[in-house]
Amino acid sequence: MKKFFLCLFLMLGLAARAELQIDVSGAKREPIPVAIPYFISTDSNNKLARQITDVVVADLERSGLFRLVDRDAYIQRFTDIDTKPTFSDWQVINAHALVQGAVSTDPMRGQIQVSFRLWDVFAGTQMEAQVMTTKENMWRKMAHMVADSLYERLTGEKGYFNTAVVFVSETGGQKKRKKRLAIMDQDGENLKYLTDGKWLVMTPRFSPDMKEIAYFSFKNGKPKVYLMDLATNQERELGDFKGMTFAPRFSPDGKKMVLSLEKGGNTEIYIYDLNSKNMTQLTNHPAIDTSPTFSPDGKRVVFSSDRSGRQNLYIVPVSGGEPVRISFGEGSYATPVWSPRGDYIAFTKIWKGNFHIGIMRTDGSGERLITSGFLVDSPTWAPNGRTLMFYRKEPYSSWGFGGASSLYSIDITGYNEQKIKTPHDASAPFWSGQL
Amino acid sequence: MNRSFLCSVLLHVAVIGLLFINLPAFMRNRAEMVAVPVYIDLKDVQITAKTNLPPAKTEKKKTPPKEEKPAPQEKPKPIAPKPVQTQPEKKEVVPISDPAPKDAAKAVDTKPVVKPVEADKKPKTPPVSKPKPVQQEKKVKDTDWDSLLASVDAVKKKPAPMPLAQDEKETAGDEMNPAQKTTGASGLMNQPLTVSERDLIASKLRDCWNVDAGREGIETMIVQLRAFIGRDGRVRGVKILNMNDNPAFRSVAESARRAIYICDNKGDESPFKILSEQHPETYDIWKELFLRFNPVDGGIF
Repeated sequence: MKKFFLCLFLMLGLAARAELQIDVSGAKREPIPVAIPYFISTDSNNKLARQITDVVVADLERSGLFRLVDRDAYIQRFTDIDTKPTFSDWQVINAHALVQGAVSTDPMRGQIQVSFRLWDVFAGTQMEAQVMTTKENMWRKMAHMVADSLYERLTGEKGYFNTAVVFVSETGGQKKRKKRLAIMDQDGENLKYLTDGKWLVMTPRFSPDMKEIAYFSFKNGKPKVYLMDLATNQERELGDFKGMTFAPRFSPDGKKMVLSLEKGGNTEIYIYDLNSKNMTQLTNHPAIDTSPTFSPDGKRVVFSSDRSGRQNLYIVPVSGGEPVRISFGEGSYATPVWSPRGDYIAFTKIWKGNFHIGIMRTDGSGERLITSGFLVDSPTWAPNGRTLMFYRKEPYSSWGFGGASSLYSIDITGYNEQKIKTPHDASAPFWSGQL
Repeated sequence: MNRSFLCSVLLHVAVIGLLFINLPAFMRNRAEMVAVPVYIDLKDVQITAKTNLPPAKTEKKKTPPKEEKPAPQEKPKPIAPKPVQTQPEKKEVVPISDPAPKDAAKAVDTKPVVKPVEADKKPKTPPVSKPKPVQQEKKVKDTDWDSLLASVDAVKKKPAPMPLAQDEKETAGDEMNPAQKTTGASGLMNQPLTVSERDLIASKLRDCWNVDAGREGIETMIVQLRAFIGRDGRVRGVKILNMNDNPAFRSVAESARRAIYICDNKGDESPFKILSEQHPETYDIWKELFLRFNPVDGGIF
């Protein structure tokens, strides 16, 4: 009898865990269809509500990860943000996510308020809801922040829409090229020139706190690194060194800079302390060592050097030591930049007569070229470590025409290459952190 | 002016010269591509006795009798366990499936409410069903063949698709453990689906799943879910089993959950319809599906 009950007990245990198992591997890689009706205006300011919606939609679509479901297909119409969606109406048009938004203005205070809800249409659940308030003239920034919130909630990654880009704006022909520093939002809006083009400028870089820009200039015939205060547009020389300084970059904490210094025909990497004004030499080799970049934790520097006979990438600790080579492929490697996530290093590669933008892991493995052209150069990372911006230059014809230079963004998967609109030719972009 | 005229003349001469040289060569190549046919005088070929193949009349006579013999004998055997399975299903129908199918919109809203209720109900069914297979096993042994054949006739009226035949053949000879087959004990979790049915369901779910490939660490984000299916093949609820605080994993897990609902919304194309239409008698097994989603194509679980 005991054996019978023991068997019964065992059978009960076994049956309780009985279930069918199915494994699914692989998935589609398509933009997520999102329904975003025009944000509702709680007062008569429909134009502002539509402008904000357009900026949000443009940001999400430009990322390549989302696709707006055609508004003509919408069945349900909202009159306020508190109306719960009829999910079947959105499921039938295959909207995976739905955004409800509303905009209200306070003219007395000069403020606007944006509120939105994000719904998972097929699960029938609310994923996110936020209210934002700001000055009315900052409506575009607020739209970017809404896009960032939607992007983060749907992808799990940080957004990058509330960011800026500093670059070199170029005008004029091949022989009389005028180059000016310019700053704009990542979508090409709010463009502002920082210099007048009188002196040649190159390689602008934001400081981490976005208060300054470091760049290389031939001002007054003295080619060296300068710092510009973005609030006052005042510029100053970075130290007083014998030799030419160039390729500057700020450390992640903003307290130091890494740059190249050319002295007596030899170019080495130095670290400059902005507070103490001390200069510390990091490399010591007859080769040309240049294009240094800090790692996100500020403990290592990656740079380009031709000490092996042609340009390759090396990593050296900030505390000093022997640089370790990480690139071993064919061609020459230049302009390395460390991803803000710390997992990849982007670079420019010259190989088989063409330029390429590629990424590799920090140990040099997993090298992958994601775009190429006659001349593509100067990759810079978006703050989420997912998107790169670079510039592409077309060749000049024998008659001197062509040579157009434009900014492009691309996903690290190699997909979604998009041109960034600028009023003139552009080069040498640098992407800011989150504003 | 003279220089430009001279350049123009030189360029014209170069273009005309290239045409003069290359066009004939191009045409010549086309002519060369036409192969000259090889002519064989058939009168000179002699057919030897070895090439005279005998007529294949005797082969046709041999094959038909072999095909006829096994077919009628195999059919009755696999159907025998089915009457054993039908009895526990009747008691489980009422609390789960009735309200959901007609009102799709309401069912979507009530899904979060339905989930905990169904989760509570589940533990009740196994202790009820477990003793019965033991008792029914004895009944199978004690009943007459006539009553079995009668139930077989009743079951025959339902459509029996070909993939089922493989499972039936596997279980046909083993009448000693019908309990394990009917309740799907852990050692027999592959039943009642065939490999092709399982692959079809996985393939349809994959088509419904949309996930971003560029995420950091995507290869480690394997999502485990449990889907609760109604008798009509409609999804009653989905639960993510291994959710964590990682925002990226959360979005992948939610996309997997969304994929199940998207597939459910496809009506007759839903992968879960395969279960309700092809395997209604084993609802007890497939009413809860354990699903694992790996974003990497061909990924290992």
